[in-house]
Amino acid sequence: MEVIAEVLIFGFLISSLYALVSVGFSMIFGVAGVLNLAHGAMAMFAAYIASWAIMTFGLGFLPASILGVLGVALISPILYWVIIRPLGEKPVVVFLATLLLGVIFEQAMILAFGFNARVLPPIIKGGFIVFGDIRILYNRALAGAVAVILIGLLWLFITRTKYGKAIQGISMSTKGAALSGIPTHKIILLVWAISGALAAIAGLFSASFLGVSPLADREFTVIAFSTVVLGGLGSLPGSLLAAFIIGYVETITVQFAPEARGLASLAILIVVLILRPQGLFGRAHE
Amino acid sequence: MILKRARTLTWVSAAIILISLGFLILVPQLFVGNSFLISTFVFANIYSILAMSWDLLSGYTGQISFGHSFFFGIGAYTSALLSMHLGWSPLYTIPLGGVMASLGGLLVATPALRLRGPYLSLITLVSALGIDQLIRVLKLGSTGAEGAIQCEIDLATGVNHCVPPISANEVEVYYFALGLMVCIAIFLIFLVRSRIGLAFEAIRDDEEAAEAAGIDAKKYKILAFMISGFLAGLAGAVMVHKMQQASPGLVLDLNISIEAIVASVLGGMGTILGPVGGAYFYILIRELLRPFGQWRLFAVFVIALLILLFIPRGVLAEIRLRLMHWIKSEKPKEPQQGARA
Repeated sequence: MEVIAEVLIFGFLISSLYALVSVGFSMIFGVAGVLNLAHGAMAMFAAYIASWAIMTFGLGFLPASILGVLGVALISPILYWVIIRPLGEKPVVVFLATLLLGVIFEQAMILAFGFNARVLPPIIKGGFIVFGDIRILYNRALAGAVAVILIGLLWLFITRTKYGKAIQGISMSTKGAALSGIPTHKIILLVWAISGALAAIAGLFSASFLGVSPLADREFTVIAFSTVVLGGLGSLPGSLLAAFIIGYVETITVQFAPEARGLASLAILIVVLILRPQGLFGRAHE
Repeated sequence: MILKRARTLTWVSAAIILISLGFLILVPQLFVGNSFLISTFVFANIYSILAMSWDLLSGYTGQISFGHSFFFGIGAYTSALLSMHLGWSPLYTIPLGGVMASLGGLLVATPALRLRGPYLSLITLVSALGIDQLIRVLKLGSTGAEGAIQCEIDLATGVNHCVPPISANEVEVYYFALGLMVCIAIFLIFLVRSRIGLAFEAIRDDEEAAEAAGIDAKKYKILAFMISGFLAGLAGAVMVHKMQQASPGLVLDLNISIEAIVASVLGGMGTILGPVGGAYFYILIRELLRPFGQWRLFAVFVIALLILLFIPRGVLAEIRLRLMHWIKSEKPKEPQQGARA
């Protein structure tokens, strides 16, 4: 019983962070048709901004994190505006450009901060929430709570507000949305900013448990990419479900067969793609 | 249906290719005893093979692979294990490495047939990450940590047992790598100008239209995966005998796939010789500008991004085009939108 409860709780915590990274990736694909392989770099970049602010200005974790999130929310739409958009409707070129952007960020972080990993201080120090024999650090519990709240807010934003409806409209048809008077370019910039910010928050929390290194972005990108493809490109519910599948599969393998960590989720991905090439919730043909 | 292609090889580009080749043949004579430089050129040839192999699958056939390290690593491990444990000569195990990687290509192509675009790229990425993990977990035929193949000292005889080199003489290794690279380049140039190459390009440009025109897209995609896998496997196998050791970090890292892409982007996707130039440029900068530390890689990646933004054809292809037009005294046409996606 203990083990099952542990898997359920820790699986949920890790899955909610994966979901945070993945929804942004999914939204960018939805509105801009871009598979942003620099998405993980945004998560990593936020952690580095925060770490730099803490070291240089002696800021606390919270203000430093806010700085990190804002920084990424600013740079992410700029990248789209300056680099991705001028490339136009050439998916392969755009795909490779985002890949290069990701590695450029990696090199820039190595140049600025060196190869070594850095750990951010936890937002709430010490302390556990206790469930029977299971103890959860406050910081991890907070990460899970923040992730769930943000995803809930995002859901409300997309389904209930004018901007959210515009985002949905653009995902269905950019031309149609533009013809109905939606300022598509501005909305797409907004989506890049929101996606960047969500990735940044996931990156900050992850850096406060596991630290951040210049190549840490690859893990985020691979998770976001696999989750979104597993869920079906362009489907937000699919991405969320897939984030939880991958998160739980990883937690279960770590619990029962730690050496196979990483392999299990890759295997699931391959099996799902063979059985359902369009992903779990994807439309059969775009 | 299939138009006869205009001859694109002018005497100028032929002269440039011959002069470069002449220089490459003379490298050991020009830099006698400089084993660092000769090694660097060996690596450049290996990466050229890898980049051409990526270009065939991704640049020509449009199946964007993020996992070329998959083929590279299979070739490397096959050749290393066979030569080390069975004592076979690298001259036999290198082609076998290529064959194994080609079978790996078949393995990836099978699920990949139903997948397109990003789904397909993800499968290639996942295969590369998966085999990396698998070798670490299985500790495949190795004594080193995490699936590394290193030298083993036989305690009974005291003989040091390593992955054998292709030859003890570095100049011979160089000519082997250069010769292999040139043969593969010639093979690919003929291949892409054949009906098979045209079918590859047709699939890249529009798979439905290609099928409507009677091209069996499945067959050609499998073929592209297998040829590309074979060539990348050869590159990995040569690499392992050059380094005389193998580990997931050395031959299966994601960086290898990224480097293959960067080399192709630098020189020009879908041009075969472009990626060779790109690979040489990348490796020479990576190895010769070491004093600049990480700046050199940063600069190369930024250059690659700028090329993608402003010269999507790639540098060599653009130069050739401008030369051709200059010879004919015409203004070069602006690149057509989406002509080369």
